[in-house]
Amino acid sequence: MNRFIDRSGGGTRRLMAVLGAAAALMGTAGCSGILDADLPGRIPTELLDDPTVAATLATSVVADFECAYSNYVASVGIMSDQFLGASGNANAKDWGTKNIVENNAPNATAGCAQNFGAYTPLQTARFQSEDIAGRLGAWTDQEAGTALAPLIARTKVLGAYAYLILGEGYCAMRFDRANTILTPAQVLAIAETKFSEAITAAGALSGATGAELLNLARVGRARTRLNLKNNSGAAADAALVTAGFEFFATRSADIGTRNNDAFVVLTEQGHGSVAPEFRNFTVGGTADPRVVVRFGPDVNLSPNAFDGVTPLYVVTNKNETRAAPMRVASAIEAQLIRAEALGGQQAVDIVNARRTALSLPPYTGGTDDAAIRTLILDERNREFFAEGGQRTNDLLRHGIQWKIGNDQIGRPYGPASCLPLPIGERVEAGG
Amino acid sequence: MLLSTMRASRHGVRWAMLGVALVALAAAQPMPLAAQSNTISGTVSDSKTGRPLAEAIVRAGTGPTVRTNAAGRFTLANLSGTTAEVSVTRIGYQPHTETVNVGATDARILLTETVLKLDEVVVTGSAAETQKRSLGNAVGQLDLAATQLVAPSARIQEALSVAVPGLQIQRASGQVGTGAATRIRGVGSLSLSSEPIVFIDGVRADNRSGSTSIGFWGEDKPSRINDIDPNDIESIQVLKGPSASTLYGTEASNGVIQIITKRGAAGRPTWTTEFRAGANWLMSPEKVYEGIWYRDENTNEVKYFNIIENDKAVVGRSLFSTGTPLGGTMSVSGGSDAIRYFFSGSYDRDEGVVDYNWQNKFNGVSNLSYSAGETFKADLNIGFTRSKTRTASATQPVTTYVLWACPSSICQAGSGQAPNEAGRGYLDGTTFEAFEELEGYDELDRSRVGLTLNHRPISWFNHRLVLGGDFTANPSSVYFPRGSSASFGLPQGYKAVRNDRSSFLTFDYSVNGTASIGSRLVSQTSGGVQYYQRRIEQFGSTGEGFPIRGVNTVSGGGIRGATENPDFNFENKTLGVYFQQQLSYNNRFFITGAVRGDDNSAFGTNFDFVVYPKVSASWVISEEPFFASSSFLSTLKLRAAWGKAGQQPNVFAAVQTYGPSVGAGGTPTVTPLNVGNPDLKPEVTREIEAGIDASLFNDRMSLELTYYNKVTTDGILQAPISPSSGFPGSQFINVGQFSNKGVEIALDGSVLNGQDLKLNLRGSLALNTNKIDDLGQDAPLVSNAQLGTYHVNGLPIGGQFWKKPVSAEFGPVVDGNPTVINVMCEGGTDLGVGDGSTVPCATAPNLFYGQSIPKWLSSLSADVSWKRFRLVGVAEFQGGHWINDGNLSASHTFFLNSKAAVEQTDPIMVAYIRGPLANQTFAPGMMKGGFGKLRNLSLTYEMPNSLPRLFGATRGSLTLTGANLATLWLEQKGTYGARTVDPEVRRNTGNLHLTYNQESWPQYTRFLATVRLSF
Repeated sequence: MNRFIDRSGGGTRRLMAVLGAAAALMGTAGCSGILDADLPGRIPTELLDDPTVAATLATSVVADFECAYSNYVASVGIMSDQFLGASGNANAKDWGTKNIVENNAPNATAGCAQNFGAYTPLQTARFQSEDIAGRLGAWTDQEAGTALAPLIARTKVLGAYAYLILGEGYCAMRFDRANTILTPAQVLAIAETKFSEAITAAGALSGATGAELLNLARVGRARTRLNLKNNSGAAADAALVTAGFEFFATRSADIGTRNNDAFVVLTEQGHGSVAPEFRNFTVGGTADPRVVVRFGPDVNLSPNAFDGVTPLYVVTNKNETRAAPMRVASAIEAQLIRAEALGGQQAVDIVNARRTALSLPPYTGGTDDAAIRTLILDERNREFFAEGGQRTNDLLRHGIQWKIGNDQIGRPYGPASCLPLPIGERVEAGG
Repeated sequence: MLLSTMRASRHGVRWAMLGVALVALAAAQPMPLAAQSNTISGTVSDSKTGRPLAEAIVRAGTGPTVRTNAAGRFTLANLSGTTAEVSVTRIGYQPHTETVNVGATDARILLTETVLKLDEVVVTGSAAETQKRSLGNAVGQLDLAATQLVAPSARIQEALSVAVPGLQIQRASGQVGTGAATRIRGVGSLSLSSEPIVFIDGVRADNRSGSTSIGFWGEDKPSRINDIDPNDIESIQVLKGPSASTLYGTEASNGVIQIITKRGAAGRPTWTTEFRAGANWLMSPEKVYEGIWYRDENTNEVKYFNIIENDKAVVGRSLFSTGTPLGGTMSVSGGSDAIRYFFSGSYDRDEGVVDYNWQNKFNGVSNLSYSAGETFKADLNIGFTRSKTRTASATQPVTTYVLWACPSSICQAGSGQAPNEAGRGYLDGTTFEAFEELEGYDELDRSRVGLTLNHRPISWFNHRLVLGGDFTANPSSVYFPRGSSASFGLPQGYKAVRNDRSSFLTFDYSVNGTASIGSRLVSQTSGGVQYYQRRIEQFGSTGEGFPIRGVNTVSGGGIRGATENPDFNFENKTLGVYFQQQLSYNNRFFITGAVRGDDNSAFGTNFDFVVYPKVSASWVISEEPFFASSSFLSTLKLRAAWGKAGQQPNVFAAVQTYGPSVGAGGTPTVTPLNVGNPDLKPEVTREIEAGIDASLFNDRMSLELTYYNKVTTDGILQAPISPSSGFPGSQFINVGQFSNKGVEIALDGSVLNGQDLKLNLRGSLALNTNKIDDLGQDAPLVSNAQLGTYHVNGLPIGGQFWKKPVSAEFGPVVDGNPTVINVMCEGGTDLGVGDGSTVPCATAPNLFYGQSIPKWLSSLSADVSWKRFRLVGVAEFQGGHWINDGNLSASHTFFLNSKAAVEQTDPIMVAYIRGPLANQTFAPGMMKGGFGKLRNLSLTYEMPNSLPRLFGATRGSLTLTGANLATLWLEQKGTYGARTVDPEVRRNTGNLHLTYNQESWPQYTRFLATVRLSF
């Protein structure tokens, strides 16, 4: 247990001097440490200025990002058209019915221990990556007792992903309590820069770690560039991603902050239910193995979702337990980015290559822009089903309205599409 | 820490055993001989309560004086003649003389209280004995020992609730084991605790309201002040604000409550026993929970459904039952001139209005006093409390499932279960029986010990040392059996245990010197040093997923976890010194000046110590020769005081910290936790108060009138930290200034004072307004955006802001649902006040509704005594504030089970459901929160001596008490036709008034019969 509060040099001595007679009477003169206090469980910032904890700090960036990613996938997953909001809990219901307005508390302040709301964890992950990358960069390998370059590269690439998600999912953004409120495009531009830095850092590494981080950064920059409508840049990055690459956020069942939140809220607690139109994906009459949906009782769950009214349908081929890892990036995503960026027959070829690998019938439709757009959106919906941010981002960047009117029990859907910047940020920024 | 607490507990037992031994010794002492022919023996008692009065001074003619013992008994010896003029004096009572026959053995002398007790000694923080006449400030006083005899309260907060003008007890819940928040003179802080600090026999005590017990779900929590048995308390004194509490320094800006436990008086042992039994019930529960509305799925007809009535019809009973409280107290006091003792033990079984809510509680007190003449006195005070409570809210309680009942399959939100099916219309079909198998427990092991040494080596100098500690261990647990339908998402079973431990240590040394300057001027000089240490520890563990029903241990869970919340693991230390100088002239005019300096472990590193000054004056003008005493104005004291006190921030608030977290594979990691504020300094409250104390109409009525103005600078706000900083949570910052102003009036009068019939009436009124004077910035600060509360310059603290709809019209029906057009709201400044204009609601500003704490508090009490009967009635009123009934909001706009939400015939209601007001989540629950309740109605019968003698007792009485018998007045019954369960239900934390009836329990009605016997 450390003594964190040290007031021996503060007012105590002066106070004692001023009232020395009384203090002397009680023998307290010179008790300079009398107000030192213990704060167990809290780590003062100064203790992070220690090169020997470099590996722990880098692991901390990973942990914060994984937590934020899990929260984000769960939150925007239930908000997207893939799931019906089906909760009797007011907060969960607000997410399921897109009633997320700027004074929504979970959107603004929920942490890793909560299931809905990712703004704070994402900002924390972003801050951690930059702060810790800065600390790591100031030390030598000798001081740290470990190679710092891989740690820095991992820190940078996950930080870039935090920027990417903040740019994709939120209507406006603010960093470091600045007075400027940024547009999503401005945030994505920052993310692109961060990914470029990460690519440089990862590219300097050798071995499997370097390859993994490089692939991860390239998928991230390709996704960012696609958002920014830099199709050629996106396709170029995506083309460099190694086949078979996949990167997951680890999850575990042992502690709430490490749970797969998508499983917890959508399956275990049943706050949402797979929307009827997505319960039986097929391709040319063949069941699509990428989205496996089951009725609750078929997998030992309740027939009804949390609200007791809506039939419960859950995804069983991903997010299947509290410990199920959550996919962040993959070569499949890179290929679909390429397909979208390139369009036409090249897109069809990419899609069909994937379908062949899955033993699904090939696409035989048109190759005009509208048809390809529909095809790619559909393929991405299947590939990234219940992976939250991908689907929401697709709806947003293509301007597709979803969940309009009333929900399945007559409750009106709210106005949210992108997530609002919390009101506290707006007010503080003077906006 | 656990070991030290356990040690303290064992020490308590040892001291108690020592006490018992001393009792035996004292009892074995030779007692005065029985009355002889030249003696007069008798009893001095209070004329109203019949309570024996110890320490009364009795003399015959000009003979020697004797003091009455704990039983009020006295014996005057060596008298001559057949009669004697016996005179009796006692502080707080009118002098009394009557003729008594020499040889009398049972003279009964009754003293009448003075209505204005200027010579009463009050506790001020210094070592000097301070009479009320010398104080420049008002002091709230409650003679609890007397009050308990005629209008007993089960908990201290109940007794305090109407006793002191300006003190408000915010009863959050009626659940057995829970407590209330205490507020004195309005809002004490923007974000820090507004609880006054508590001393028991001079030792700092745990004053937390809203403890961290896991056994109570949500905001229903115990308040530690209620741990002590009211029957062990002699009196309570309340210093209301900084002008009075300066000497207590940092932490005292919310006021100080001094609890003085009972002491022994010289004489033979006096045994007192008390037995209590009664009933607790919720009056007309089917009206309190008035039912819900829904559309019949076949006929589309709007129907009403009352789950309590339905339960009675279907299963023959409702979820509510009648609890049967039962308890008893036994005490003994007595001693010699040198050693006096008071020992007490009590047991109470309390039961709530559901059969699984109960509390077993033991209390013990061992108070020993040793006096060596006038030069030295030592008091050793030991107390303990052991309790076990089974809560009514191991999880979100059954009230949730009642309020959101749904007897149809087409409810808008929530499940459908027909009234006659297994689910009986409960939300999710989870009936009340399912909650009976959930277990929430709260246990308490609290010990306190205090040693006070008073030494007067020379006549003009005395000094005092107080050492003590208050140690609490508070284990709590919840258990959901595997397969429980009420386990709120944990059907595989769940067990959580938590242990909260606290220690409060006190070191207080004070000196005092008194000197006469000439014949009229007296100087009193005081000084002292105090050191307080507070340590809080908490750890817990959880187990989830049991292999089979019946497993109920944490280790039996498949998924286990452990927690040590850093917010509840800390220590805080305060070191303070003070100096005070008082001058009195003719014992009629007093002027006092003092200064106190404090340093605290929680002050920021960039902040030095803090200094609090005070000055006060008091003038008993009615004792001046020029003052023409009249029958109208018997006594008049003028007083004024100015002083400062403060409150330190939370102990960890100044330091930027990270917290431990867990990464992949269980690897340890760190994550930002608290952004900190190295410039943080205490918020300082300065207060000026002025007033009068007067007795009127030949001392038959007292008047206390006080005006105060409290201004807090450097107010500490727990501002939500912008997450863009990278840190989560909040940051404590010093913002500008806010103020509380008010007037307190108390009238206490003897309306009838006949031989047999007496009538006393008391009324009090306390007015309070508060506002933010200067935030230090123009922009409002968010308090809780989702609840619509903001801090805005010029408006009350935590003001409530929502759009104010004025009109709306129905539009076309879309998909079978009505829509609205032309929805207009009041215009004005956003987060300001309205200007009367109307603007479209979509772009309308959020406007101020009102302040969240009452603008006025009032109490009325009547006290009628006729021969041996005494009837006391107490009513409490409060109003002028707005509350946010979250359940009404949800009923209208989320669960859609109010009549207005189902019928949707009011376009404004439709605007809230699917119109431009749909994001005004809590606005439809805004309502005026005033109410009046009959708090206590008690009838006491003082038994004739022949009756208690049947049991070998000398005195006996019977009291029948009814508590919370009726709601006399509601300022507003509800919103949009739906009725609130109880406007008094509130979350027991912070300064906001959010009512969540689904998560809490209304105040229940209590009947209690109490029999007392003295031996």
